[in-house]
Amino acid sequence: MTARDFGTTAAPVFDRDDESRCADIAALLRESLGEDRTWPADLGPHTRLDADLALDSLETAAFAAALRQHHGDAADLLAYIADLDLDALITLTIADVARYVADRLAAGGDRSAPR
Amino acid sequence: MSRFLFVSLPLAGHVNPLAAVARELERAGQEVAWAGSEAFLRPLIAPGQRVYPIPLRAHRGGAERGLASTKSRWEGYIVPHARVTRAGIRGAIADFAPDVLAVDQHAVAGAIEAHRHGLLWATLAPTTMELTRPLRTFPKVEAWILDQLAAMWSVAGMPGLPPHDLRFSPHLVIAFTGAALVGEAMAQLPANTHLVGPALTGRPADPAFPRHWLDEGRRHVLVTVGTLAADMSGTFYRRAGAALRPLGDRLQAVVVAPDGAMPDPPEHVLVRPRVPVLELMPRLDAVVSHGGLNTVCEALAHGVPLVIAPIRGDQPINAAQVAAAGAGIRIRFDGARPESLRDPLLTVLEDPSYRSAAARVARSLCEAGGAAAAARHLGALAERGAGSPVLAGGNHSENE
Repeated sequence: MTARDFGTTAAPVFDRDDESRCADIAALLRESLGEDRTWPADLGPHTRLDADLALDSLETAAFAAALRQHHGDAADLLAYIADLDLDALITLTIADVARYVADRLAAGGDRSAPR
Repeated sequence: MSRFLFVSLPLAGHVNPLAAVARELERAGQEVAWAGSEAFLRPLIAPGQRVYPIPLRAHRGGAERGLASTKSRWEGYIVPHARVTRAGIRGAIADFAPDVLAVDQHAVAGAIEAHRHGLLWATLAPTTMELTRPLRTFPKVEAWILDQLAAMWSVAGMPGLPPHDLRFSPHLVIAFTGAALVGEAMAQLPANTHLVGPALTGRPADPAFPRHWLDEGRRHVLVTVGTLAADMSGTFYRRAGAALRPLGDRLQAVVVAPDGAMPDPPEHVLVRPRVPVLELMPRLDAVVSHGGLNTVCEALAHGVPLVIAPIRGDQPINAAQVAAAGAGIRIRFDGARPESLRDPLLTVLEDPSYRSAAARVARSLCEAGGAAAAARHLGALAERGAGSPVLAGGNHSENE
């Protein structure tokens, strides 16, 4: 399954409740890193991108590109994290990313979303 | 003849390149001394070099990853190290009267004491962690690091703010990497930076290593991921064992790991806590590594391609640089399946493009001159200092 296939089956993600939204973000992250379902077994809303998954800058960029592809240019993860301080970056969770994407889409960013 | 005082950290990967430079300086007729843990330095430096002892615990890497490890590296190590070594470095300066301080990029007390005494000093960077300011994409994190440096400066009794970023000497910066690896990030380096490649000389031999075990009919792979927290390394070694198990018909692997870390290794896998890496390099076909700069540059200087599973610090940067140069493949340290290690290893062994890219990088690293070039740059700095009587800003007393 490619990232694009996944996007069409999962959309629209922003009408669902938080948990489902987080599951979609987690699946997108897994896809963008090319990892299978066994990695890691307990990827959830509270999984931290830095402290738990040790995403480095390249992986973060790949994840950000996947988010933009699925949710439009308004879902700009790199712009969001560029303004965070050290502690906020260390504790950034999948739920934080899901909330950010939902906020950006609610703010009208969905105009630029593909499909 | 000039006098050079080396200030390092009690970490083998940091001391080894500096020790090679100190040897080259001595060979060139210069005088060398160290300020640091004598128990740690003695086995790594040339016999007979003077050590001004500063009792320190050897640093064991923590379990943190990513930016959490950046935070704990500064708060838990770099800052306290500066605090406890300051007095010892001052004592060494008073007794040895060095012309130049050669300071590890993370031994910040060396930089501060050079300023206090108005001495010439060089930054020596055994990692690429700070070199290209990789955190500049996070302005608040970069500001936090500058805050740490400013606090260390004030606690040492120095007036005002540091005159510049203490991670980079205004006189000379030496880094043990090469242009072929740093690539586009060269633009981020201060103008006084010299990339000298790996410092390979003078590692002690290991007569106990079973050289006869290597079978010329098979390919040879070295697996080394440095010193790790036990829970992290256990998972990795198990996965590496599973990845290597079916490959006995075509390769032999030497795994650097504590005894028992890889349970029941098959006949073609040799697990040893210590391995004469430099001696093995000319016989290797691939290296699987966490991407520490020393291992990466040592492998590439011998034209050996890599599979890199970065964990933290500068390792993701080094892995990305190796992949960009075409001399290896970067994988996730946390990959769940044995195939995620086995497949890239086979690719690196079977696709000749990796070997030829590694050979290209090897030429660039070897032309950079290594420890001898670093010693020449330090010697030139001392001569420059001899021509200029007094440096501005020296001789602040410490008020504590």
